Amino acid sequence: MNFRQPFILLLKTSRFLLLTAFPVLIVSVAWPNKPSLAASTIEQISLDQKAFREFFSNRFPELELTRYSEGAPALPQFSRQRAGYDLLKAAPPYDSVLREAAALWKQPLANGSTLTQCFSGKPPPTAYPFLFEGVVHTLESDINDCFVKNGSQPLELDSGMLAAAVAVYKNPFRGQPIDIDIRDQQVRALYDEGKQYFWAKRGQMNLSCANCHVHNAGNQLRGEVLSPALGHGAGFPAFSMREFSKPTNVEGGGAQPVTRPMQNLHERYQQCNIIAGAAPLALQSQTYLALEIYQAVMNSDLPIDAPGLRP
Amino acid sequence: MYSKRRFLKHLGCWFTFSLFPACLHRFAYAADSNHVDPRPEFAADQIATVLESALGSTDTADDATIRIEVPLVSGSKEVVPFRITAPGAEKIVVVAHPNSHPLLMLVDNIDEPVAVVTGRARLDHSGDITCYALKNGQIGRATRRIELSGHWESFS
Amino acid sequence: MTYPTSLKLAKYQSGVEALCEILHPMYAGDSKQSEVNYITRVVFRLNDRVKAEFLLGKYISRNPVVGTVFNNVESGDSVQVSWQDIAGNRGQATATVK
Repeated sequence: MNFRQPFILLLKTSRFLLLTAFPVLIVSVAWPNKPSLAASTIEQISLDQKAFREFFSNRFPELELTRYSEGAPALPQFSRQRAGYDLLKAAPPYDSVLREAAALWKQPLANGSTLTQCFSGKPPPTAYPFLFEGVVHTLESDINDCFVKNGSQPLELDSGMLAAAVAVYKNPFRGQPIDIDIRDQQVRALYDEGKQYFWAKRGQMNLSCANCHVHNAGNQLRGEVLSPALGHGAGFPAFSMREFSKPTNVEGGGAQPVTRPMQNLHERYQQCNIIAGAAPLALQSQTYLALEIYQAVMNSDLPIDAPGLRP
Repeated sequence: MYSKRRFLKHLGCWFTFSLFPACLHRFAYAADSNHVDPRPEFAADQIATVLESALGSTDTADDATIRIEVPLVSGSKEVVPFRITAPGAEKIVVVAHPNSHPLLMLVDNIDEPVAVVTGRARLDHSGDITCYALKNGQIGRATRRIELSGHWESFS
Repeated sequence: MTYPTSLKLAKYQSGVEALCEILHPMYAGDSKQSEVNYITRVVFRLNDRVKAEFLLGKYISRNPVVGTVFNNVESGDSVQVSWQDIAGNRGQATATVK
């Protein structure tokens, strides 16, 4: 037997492999980036929702469903701090921030129009985020779009003023149930992406969102009571009395402590990523939008409680 | 010859003179931290002194009618809300034991049958908040303890 | 220097709780902040009659909220609050019981 024979055989098979692999590779790269056809159905989502709620109703049997919007302060484990929360709520420290932001809604933009006029035909905050003409709209993106369309500079996503502006829009709707439209397949594909992000482990501590906010909801992490995942987002933007770490470099995850009184949901997601040792993503990035949609769908029918207070 | 002894001496000098400017801010703030409140009851660092100058007596007794609403655990030491209900009180003194100047608030000229006062305190450490209420010449007293728990995020 | 003052009335048991919020820095001069300026006196009045006089020290938190409850109030009663700080700044706010 010629000693070259095995090499020739290998060469022939590899040529065959290359010939078959290339078309597959080209097709997979060139395939339009559309959501997969296997997005969850509405029935599957309602089953997810039912299982999620059942878990929490078993964990906190005495807690009414509507009270989950308050976050950790609603839990019986928070009772030792609850008096402080109630006393602060009597004259909430975010009132002055809201008064300041309310002026922003009336202030004329570069072409004379106002933010209030922009939002005259928009859906109520309970319907956000929603899909329109293939684009996901959040309150933050709609406010900034209004600024851009009317010739003004958009607000910075982490400025605190944007969160306060969102809070002004949400405040009159406090107590109304969240109602997200999931009929569109693209929304359901985003729901799946958000669900994957919520349950997947990541970061130096190998934690998923669910590790803390589902399996350990109500348990203590040092002085903090972990909030339940059900109700997350219903109380945002939230006024926080804590000192937060601000991501200086989103990709690298470097952080420095700053005090940010009013905080929107994506900023909280970044914060959660940082404290779990994971790299935070950009504000309004697709993954965070997907996570927001996932949580909003889970919160369907829960009342919004924004702006919230995180003592 | 540059001896070991001389080297150490020079090293000491360099350390002293290089670290001295770094400590200057201590002296800069020292003047302000010595700020003394012109009112004797607020300048006092002992609760007995506070009571003596605010209520004229240190003779106090437990009073179950005084109600103090405070959180048992507070996440922030900068904002600790409290509400005190003292029926029939003419004068209320609120002190925080852990603070270097314990008097938080003195409420005078109360013209209500049931005095209810609200405030937000800063605390130096975990400790007691005590309310002294003067009614009919007697000083009633009630105490609640507050534990401060730092937000764990601040440590990460 | 003016510091915004707001007065909020809320129902409390059978009476009305008046909560006064003053956006004041309350510099105590004991940390890295060298300035000393804090509110020393807050007076609540109901229909021009003094109902409670608060004397405050430097251990009151930033943007302080102080309040008291008026047990016997009627609709249309006027509540006034006035304050002064150690630097001599003053402020006041008024609200009407609904």
